[in-house]
Amino acid sequence: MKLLIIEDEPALQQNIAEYFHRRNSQCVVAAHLDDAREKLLFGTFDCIILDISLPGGNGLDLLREIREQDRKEGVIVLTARDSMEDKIRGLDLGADDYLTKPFHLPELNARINSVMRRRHFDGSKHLILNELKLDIDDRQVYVHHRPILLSRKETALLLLLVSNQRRIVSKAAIADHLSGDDSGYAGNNDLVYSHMKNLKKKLAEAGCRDYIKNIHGLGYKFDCHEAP
Amino acid sequence: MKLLNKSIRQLAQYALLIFLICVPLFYFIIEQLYIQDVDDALFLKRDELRVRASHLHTQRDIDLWLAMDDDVRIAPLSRTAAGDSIYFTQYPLPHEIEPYRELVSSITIENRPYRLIVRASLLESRDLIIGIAEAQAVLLLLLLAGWVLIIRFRSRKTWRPFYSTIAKLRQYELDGGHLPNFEPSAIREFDDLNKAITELVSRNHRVYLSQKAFIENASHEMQTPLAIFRSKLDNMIEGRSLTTRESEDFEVLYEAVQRLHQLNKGLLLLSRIGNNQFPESSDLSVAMLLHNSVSFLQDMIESKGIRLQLEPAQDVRMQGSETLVQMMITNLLTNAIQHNHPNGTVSIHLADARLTIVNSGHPLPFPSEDLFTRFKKHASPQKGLGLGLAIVKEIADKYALPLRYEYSDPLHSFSIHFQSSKAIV
Repeated sequence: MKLLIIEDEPALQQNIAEYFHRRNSQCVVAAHLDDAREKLLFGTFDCIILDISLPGGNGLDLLREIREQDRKEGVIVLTARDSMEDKIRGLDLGADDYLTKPFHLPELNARINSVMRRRHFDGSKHLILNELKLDIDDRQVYVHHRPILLSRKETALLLLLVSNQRRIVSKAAIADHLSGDDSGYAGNNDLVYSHMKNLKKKLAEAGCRDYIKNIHGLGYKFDCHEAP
Repeated sequence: MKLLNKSIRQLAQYALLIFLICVPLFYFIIEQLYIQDVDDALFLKRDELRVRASHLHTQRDIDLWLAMDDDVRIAPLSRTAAGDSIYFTQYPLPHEIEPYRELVSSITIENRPYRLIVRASLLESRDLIIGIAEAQAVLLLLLLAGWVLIIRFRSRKTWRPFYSTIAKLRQYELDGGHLPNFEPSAIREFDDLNKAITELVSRNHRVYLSQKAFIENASHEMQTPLAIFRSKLDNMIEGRSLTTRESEDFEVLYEAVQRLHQLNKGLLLLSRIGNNQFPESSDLSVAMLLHNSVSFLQDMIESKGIRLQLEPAQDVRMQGSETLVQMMITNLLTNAIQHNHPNGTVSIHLADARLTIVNSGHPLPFPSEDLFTRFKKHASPQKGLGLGLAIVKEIADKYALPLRYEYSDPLHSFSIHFQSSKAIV
């Protein structure tokens, strides 16, 4: 997968690039708008990660240009301003998704995967991992071709892990992914445990092998290749 | 005591004092003057009589003369009298007793000494004096009362700008957006006062705005370093096998970043509510929002083993931002769940436009007035950030919903009244 990362903060740019590079993605970085325009001129990408506040202009202007040129890249907008107007404008201008800083890289990865699936739907609306099958659109999970009943949050949790296969997803990233609200109350790790417990129990009852591993209490990893 | 009444009261007291002293004094003085006048007249009459007595020669003349004037009497004297005496006396009349002033002197007729008694009636003069005194009293009363009334009226007019200033200050709210606007008065002192207040208020307003902007900017500026921190952590735990010790360290770091992030989000949210950045408004069903909150928090309720008592709801509707009102209810409930004993109780009651959430829990370790201020929280290792209830308060204030907290051992009770709501957009 080829990514264009437009982010002016060098450390953040580097972290994102490093993370996706490890996932065998090819990452091109741009630190300001003109740089980004140049890179867009000479290449095509699968997905563009676009920071809104950039030196030399608003990232949304670039988003408009991209859409006017009818380019096919998926665009995920990043912003430090968690405001509704920015969000709505971004999505109106044709962004595929929207993430507020500070985000978790597994979350970004899951969003990119989701955008990719939506953009290039080559019939693979299903993810098949051995006996486990996920129907992304209907958010339905099958084990041995039999549907299993998961709660909304358990499904979201499983999708996040599957999107980040063979990588550790921290409990914090899971808590954020599951709550996603502005309540002013801290994300609750206890809830991560209880959802995880229920999910694993339901999968096991349906006869699915235990693909989800707890990594020293730090987080979880989904790996269907190293399953016991 | 009101300023107006205070100055008027002193004036009125003075006026009453003057009135009470002056009317009797005046009466007394007029009476004295009149008596003096009567006495002078009596002496004059005596002198005239003495002159006229030289024309009397016979007893018949004397009798005739005496018959002509009822107020003069004479009586023969054996020897010459020592001197004159003047005094009050009374004579009975058919209906009343008539007061008189009498002069007793001596007169010589045909070389014989006589006692001369001349009298003057005081009856009419008394009426006159009383009449004068009454007129005087009325005049004085009119004068003083008029004086008090005019001053009262004038001061009320004079102080009007002052009262208007007070009324405007009372209405003024620091976060209300606009500064109080004082009209110029005709009085320099009041204009000075208004000017001083305007300066003070706009100075405070500027400080408030810059502080608000500071919180907002600081929160925004922190987002990027936090993003760097977090993404670095995400990278660091990948692609290597971590020891248990390292994992624990990473977990601590993740949690710290998470807290910082939540704090930041909370502060940003507070300033966004304060800046009216949730302008959308729709017709909301409180019962439905309550239902949403309960199902949203179901997991948390179960994981803490809370017993939830949800009484049948009597719906109430309000105008407002769905996001905010939902958040307010969710935060209230979250508070009731988080600051509860394990296996405690939460009961929710929605009736008569009032939502009441009652939960078990330890008594507050701080005064209940501080409950809705930011960063007031239990020192216990609970994970509250100290912003949840501040957000509830901010939202309740935005929609002018009265929010109440009561504690009756061992239950905490929060209630919101939705009826008096008026949406501020």
